[in-house]
Amino acid sequence: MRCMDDGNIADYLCEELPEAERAEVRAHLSCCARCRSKLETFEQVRAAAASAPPARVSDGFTAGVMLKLKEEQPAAASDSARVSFRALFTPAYGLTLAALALCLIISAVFLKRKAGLPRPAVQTIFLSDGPAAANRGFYGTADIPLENGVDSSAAEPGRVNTDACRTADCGIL
Amino acid sequence: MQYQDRNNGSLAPENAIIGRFMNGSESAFAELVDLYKDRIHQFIICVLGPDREAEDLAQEVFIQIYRSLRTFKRESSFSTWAYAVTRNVCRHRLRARGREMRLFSGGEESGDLLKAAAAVPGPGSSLETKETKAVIRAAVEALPPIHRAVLFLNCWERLSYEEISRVLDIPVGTVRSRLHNAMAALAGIIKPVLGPEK
Repeated sequence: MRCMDDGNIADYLCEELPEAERAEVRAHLSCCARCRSKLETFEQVRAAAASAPPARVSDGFTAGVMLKLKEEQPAAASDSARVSFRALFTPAYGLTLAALALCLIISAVFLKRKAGLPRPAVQTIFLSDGPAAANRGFYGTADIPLENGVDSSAAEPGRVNTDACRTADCGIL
Repeated sequence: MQYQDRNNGSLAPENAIIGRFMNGSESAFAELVDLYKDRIHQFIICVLGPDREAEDLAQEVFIQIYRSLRTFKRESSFSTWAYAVTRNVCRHRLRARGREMRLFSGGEESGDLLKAAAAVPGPGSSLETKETKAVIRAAVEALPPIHRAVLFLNCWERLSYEEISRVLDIPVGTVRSRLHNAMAALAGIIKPVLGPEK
């Protein structure tokens, strides 16, 4: 193996070489004083850089951070409330609201139309269990007297007139 | 050469703390701040240089961490994630100050490194002496921020190239070349301080 450059030495020192290459380097170092010396210098550099402890922060740093966090929390809570209101205007919520509004409009139109439609004509069913003055067409219109010019016997829509009904109307029963 | 291993080869202590925080313990977060405050502060200084706002920024970083810790998926180590948050906060601050982000994206490397190397003081005797440590610290501080940050993450935090690339959002090859350049520049400073080659 040829002598190592600075990069190889640093890689070796930082354990960034694969094991096979590390073995090669170890073998080379055992017989090359120049590379060994380079490696020692780099080791010293690394140790020197690691020997200086980090710059200390002032006392009360942690308390300061915790205090800031406490102060932030109420603000964060109101922020989240504001965000949830704003969320109503996000596309997903907007679409849902629009769909809901459309459904309401369609339902309203449908109900209105249904309410305005003319009722189907009600047919009066004449059943007879005997002669009855109200059963027009059964005996003919001539049988039915007019009261003040109005056919009082005109059947109410949906009403089934029978002789019994007619009799009841007449006050017999 | 022996130097402190941050995790002592065991599971990172922050894992248990984060677990307690996830279960609703606010005091666990204070513990996390205590554990990381100096490291985050140092990283900010590495990136921005000595800055009177460094401590305020460190507080801002912890507030960001607090807000998003529940979304931390543990795909990477907590330190990698926390440094990435720190990098973003520094980035925003630099943008707010209207400075170019050459720190992270490239820039003039060799020129600054030569300047750092030129700040070599007189010879010393060993790495352990106070004077030598001061010299080395001054030499590290004289490095450009991109090199300082890589050096800190590699030498102090013992992050791998891959992790550093994630923290700084730069390719692994760039991490490698920046680290090599920084180490070579520092080696140039340390050699005369330590005396002739063995």
